[in-house]
Order: sequence, then C-alpha cells, then structure tokens
Amino acid sequence: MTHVVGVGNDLRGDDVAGLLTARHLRELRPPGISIEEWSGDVARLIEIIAEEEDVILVDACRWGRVGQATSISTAEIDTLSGMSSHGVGIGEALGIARALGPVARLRVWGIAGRSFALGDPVSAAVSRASRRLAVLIAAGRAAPDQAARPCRGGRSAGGGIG
Amino acid sequence: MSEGDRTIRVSALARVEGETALRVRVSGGRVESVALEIYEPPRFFEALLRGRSYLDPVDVTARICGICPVAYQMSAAMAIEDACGVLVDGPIRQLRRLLYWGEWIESHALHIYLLHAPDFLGYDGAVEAAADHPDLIASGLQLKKAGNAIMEVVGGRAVHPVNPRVGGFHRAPDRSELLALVGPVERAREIALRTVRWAAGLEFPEVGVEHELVSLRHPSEYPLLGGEIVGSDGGRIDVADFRSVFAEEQSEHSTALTSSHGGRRYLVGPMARFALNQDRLDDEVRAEAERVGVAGGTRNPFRSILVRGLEVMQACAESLRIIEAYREPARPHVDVPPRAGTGTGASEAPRGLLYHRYALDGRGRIEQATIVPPTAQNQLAIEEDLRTVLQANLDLPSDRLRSLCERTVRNHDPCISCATHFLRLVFEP
Repeated sequence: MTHVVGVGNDLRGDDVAGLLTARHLRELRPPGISIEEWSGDVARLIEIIAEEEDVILVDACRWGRVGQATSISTAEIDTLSGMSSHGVGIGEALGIARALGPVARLRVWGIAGRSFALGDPVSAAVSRASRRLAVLIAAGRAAPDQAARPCRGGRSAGGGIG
Repeated sequence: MSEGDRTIRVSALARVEGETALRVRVSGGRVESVALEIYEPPRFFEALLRGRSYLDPVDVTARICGICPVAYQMSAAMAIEDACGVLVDGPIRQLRRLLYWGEWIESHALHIYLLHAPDFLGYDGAVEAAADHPDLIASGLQLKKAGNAIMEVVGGRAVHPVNPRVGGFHRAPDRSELLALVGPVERAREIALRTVRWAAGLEFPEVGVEHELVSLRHPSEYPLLGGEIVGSDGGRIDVADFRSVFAEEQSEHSTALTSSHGGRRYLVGPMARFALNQDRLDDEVRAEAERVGVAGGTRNPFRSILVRGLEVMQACAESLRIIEAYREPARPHVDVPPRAGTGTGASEAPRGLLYHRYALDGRGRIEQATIVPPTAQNQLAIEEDLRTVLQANLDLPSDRLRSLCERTVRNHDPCISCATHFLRLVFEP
C-alpha cells in the first residue's frame, strides 16, 4: 500500500499544488493507494513516516520552471531541515521519525510554483502539473528516477508546521 | 566602540512560530538596547474581515494560526455572540471547552518536547534530541496526539477545525464518540504527570523577572472562555473595557503592535494565569506544583516548562470530566440573529489572553474588527527578560550569549504569525 500525502495551503496560490494532486488522485480512485491531505501537524507527519510502508509526499516548491514536477532524493530531503519558519518542518519530521524507529520508503515530489501570497490564484501550469503527477502516481510511475530533473538545493515553498 | 562593547544579532530565531530576529547592543558593561525585531509580513486580517458577514470570523481568523486556531475561533464567536446579545451556555459551552483543552494539550506538548526541551538537554533541535532520547520525544508525541484526537472529534479536524460556528457547532458529537477519547486522555494525563516530574529535574538558569501579570479569571473554572480580566496589581476589569485599559502602539522595529498597561509592560500566558488562578486548579495539580517548587507561580521564565506541564495535567483532568458529564445537546448551536452593535470576547489561548472586538451593522456586516493576540502583548515583557538575562551573563562569550538570548525568547513560546496582523500603515504625503 502506498500512502500519498498532499501538502499545501488552499489560500496561498500555487502552494495548493500538493493538495490538488491529492484531490485529483482521489478522483482517479487508484487501487493500492491511500490518500491524505496533510493538516500541517508535525506529529501526524511523523506518525505517517513511522507507520506507513511507502509514502509519497507532494508539496509546492520554488525551484524549476513553473509547473515542473521534480522529485527529491532522500539525501536532499535531509537538507529540508530548518526550512520551515515554524520550527519543525518536513526534514525534521523525517529526522525525528528515524530516531524513533524504522521509517517508510519516502519519496517527495515538488511542483514548481510562481506565486504564494495570500489570495493569489493558482497558476494554470501548476494546476495542469498537479493533474499530470496524480496520473503518474496512480499508474505507479512516480519513482524518483523518473523525475524530469532532480532537485538541487531549492527551498520548500510550503509544508511548514502551523 | 570601546572594549566590552558589542552587538549581538540573531537574524532568524529557530524553534519559534513565525519569523523574527533579535538585536542587542551592549556598551560600557551595560545592556544598552534590546529589540525583538518581528519582520514576518503583516497579514491584515482585521481589514480582511471588514464588510464580511458576522458568521465569517470563526472560519477566517482560525487561519491566523495553525497552532492555536481554536483560540481565535472561540474569542471570535464569543465577541460576535456578545454583539448580538446571545450567551452560549450548557453542553455547547462544555463542548467548546473540551475542544479548547485539546488545543492546549497539543500546543503545550509541541512546545515542551519539540521546541523547549532541546534547550535544556543541550541540543540544537528536536531531531538531535530524539536521537539520544527517543522515549522522551515519543511520549511527547503521544501526548500531542491525545490533544489532536480531541480536536478531530469535536472540531472535525486537528488543525484549523471546521466544526465550530457562531452559536456553537455545526454538529454535536455523539456521546460514544467522546467516550472513545477517555483512554487516550487518561494516558495523556499520566504522561503529563511524568512530564512535570521530568521537567523538575532539568537545570534552570537562576533568574527572576518582575512583570505585571494579566489573565482571565472565571468565577469557578481555570480560565479558558470568558470571565474578568485580572492583574497581579489587583486590577480587575470587564473584557469590554480591555481597550480603555490596555494600549497598542507601533514600534519601528516590529511589524506587530506592542501592548502596554499604563505605559508599562505586562505578561500574559501560562506563568500569568497560573499565578493568578491557583485556587482554580485541581488539588492534584496544585499538589504537584508544590512538589516541583512552583506553588503559587514562578517568576523564572525558564521554569515556564513546568507550568505548561502542570497546565496539561489540568487540561486532561478537565477534559475527562467534560466527557464523563456530556449529554448530546438538543441542537448543536443556538440561533444568533444579527443586530447592530459592538461585542467583545476574550479567551485564554495556550500563549495567553486573546481579545476580539467586532462592530456589526443591522444586517450583520462587520464594520470594524480588532484582534489583540498574546504574543503582541508580551513583546515588551520578552524584551525585559532579555535585558535581565543578558545583564546577568555579560561575561559569557558572544556565541553562548546568543544561544541564551534565543532560549530566553523561546521561554514564552511566541507565536509571531499571530502577532503580525496589526500593522497600521501610515503613508507620508
């Protein structure tokens, strides 16, 4: 079973990318895949990483051309530590989960956005990319080595706690 | 700059909610200036609410903070109900209290274990602390999970709950749903007790800072929803008089307004309400407070970790009582027809007193909204803590002093995102 986690904020333009992917995926009803829109609670994210076997996390990011979906390697996920302004982010959640025991196979996908301000509209390219990524995940084709271009040291646009 | 003069700057404080910096100037062996520079962009929630329906603030203001959304929902609902001349009581009020205790449990657990504990254990953050103390961090997460469970059952979800509304709730949970929470909350109560005893063994820097303390005070309950506003100076006012007693003003170095009482700083939050409401605590909690040396309260902000642990004990005990007594209300909310008027509401967010005021027209359109969160009220007190701690430790090298400054700020669990909705922009001609 693969657990897909959409990360983002409905009210901040392209930051909704991860949530859109989760919603598109839900419409596709793929077998063997459970779907969750992450609430932003760090304890829940640690729980997911610690208790699920296979996790795909989708968030918006600020690297690449707008609408580009990029996978992030495990090593690069570690560099996400400290990127949340709210004290505990995705990287920290993974670090804590690892310290507490075995963790899921984790894959992180970022969808590059343009605007993240409160009330901004969602870019058409981000909307399309979310749908495409959902189709890829549903078809079991969202392995990291199938990324169009690997991420190199970008910054997460969202996914912060609180 | 002479020998001994130095400037300490922390450009981004870690393990606090939101974005803030810190600048300290030391000259001639004296702390010359301290500035908590809140640079998180202002978010204009008060302006956003103008012209909207009186039913909207409960959902809109919940978005101010992902850690304490219930605080915003409850203060907003009470202020609007006050404007409309409606008092919500009985089982609906008890459900509100249960939801709020859930938020306290999850917020305090997050701060105690993931944000504050690393300071005492000597780690840079929770990841490093978890590597050496996995059982400790795991129990903290279990505690937080109990709070989340309450939020999910009563609020509809753990972050930004969707079930609260003006007049009560969209749906009242079944008694069986609440009874399913008894096990997790009982376990949480045990963890809370262990938390207090663990925290009592930590090493605390010796410091005492005298602030005027301010909190709500209820006739019979540990303060959460409503009551009077009381101060350690003996003052006591109605919530409706808040703005005539407490002033807000813009400072150059912060995008948050800073609050004062008679031109002086004051402190809200766990240390304040704990000291001012000792007689509203359960006997078990009061006895534990005595055991760990904070009976009657503490003036040492580093010991606030103990107070938060004791408040979690209280929150768990109160939650269990509410669950036990709960009977589903005939309707999940009372009707609140709009009317022209002004209303105020105040509740005790995990970080302290949160005040809302709304002016409505006859159709329920919001003409004016005012929100005063705890962190904005605490800004001057935090700066005074920094001044006191620094002055006593000026012999430390700069890197250790910088670290001590960060710890001093984190003592108050500041929520910077909450504090930055209030910037009043003045454009020069």
